[in-house]
Amino acid sequence: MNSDPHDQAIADDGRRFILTSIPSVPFMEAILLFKALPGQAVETRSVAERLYTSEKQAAVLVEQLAAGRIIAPVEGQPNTHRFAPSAELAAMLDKVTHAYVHNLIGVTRLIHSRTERMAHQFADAFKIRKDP
Amino acid sequence: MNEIMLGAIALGSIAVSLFFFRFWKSTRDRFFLLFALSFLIEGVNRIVLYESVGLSEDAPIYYLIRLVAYGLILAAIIDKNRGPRRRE
Amino acid sequence: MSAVIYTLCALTSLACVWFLMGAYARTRHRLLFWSGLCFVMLTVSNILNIFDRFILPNVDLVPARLATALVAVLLLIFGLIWEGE
Repeated sequence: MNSDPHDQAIADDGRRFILTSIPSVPFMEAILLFKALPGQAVETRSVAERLYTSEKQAAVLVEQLAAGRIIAPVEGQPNTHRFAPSAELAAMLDKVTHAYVHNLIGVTRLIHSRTERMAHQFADAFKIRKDP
Repeated sequence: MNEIMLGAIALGSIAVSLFFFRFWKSTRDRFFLLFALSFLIEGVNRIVLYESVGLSEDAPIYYLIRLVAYGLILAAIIDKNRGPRRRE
Repeated sequence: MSAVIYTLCALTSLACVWFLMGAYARTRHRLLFWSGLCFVMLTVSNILNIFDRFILPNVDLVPARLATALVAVLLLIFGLIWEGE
């Protein structure tokens, strides 16, 4: 199994981040979308158009992204967000989007890997972190 | 009935250990290896000691081995907390 | 001597309950709940064991001990299969 080239290319911390923080492929695509337009206010409707999905599903994605502090709402403009991760998170997002673009099959497989996801969440639950 | 339950417990413990071995295989996290070993030991313990001790389980060795099995779970959890908090 | 070992078994399984349920309370990851429940039943089984041996020697608690241990592993197997989807 480990000789699979799609498995090799993703670094450990990237794997962990994908498994714990990226719930679906559209979620990853939405990150790419916001990331490609740094600083710009993006409407939920335009997210739906660009990802070829319904506005309802796009609204769910946007909500998840905002909850993950990857994007932030734009003040005074309803249903509009911009790419706004912390520096640390931005560095990690650089890493995983790079991996996604260069190893689409490997990363997609990882996103869909329920066993590994469950395992990571289970083991990570025992780490008592000081920061929430 | 007791023998049936004992056999089911042994098989169940080994099945649980296989699940944890699978987690270990996909994550390479020794946390799961310790969990897997714990349940494997408990399952095998039930079978092997039934032959020599019987259903009453009245032998300290039986419980010493079980203590080791539970200890592995605690060791796995403590080990998780001792490791590096942050990768970066 | 054996009393010490039996008590230690009950205490270590109780410690497992404490850690597993504590992790569940923090993260709400459901497999932790099933694991915790498994160790709750194992703790009950170990406590019954102490009763069987030292407190109620005239009562046959073997079926109860085995039944609780069996329920314990069944709960965890259920959790592993159900949550794994």
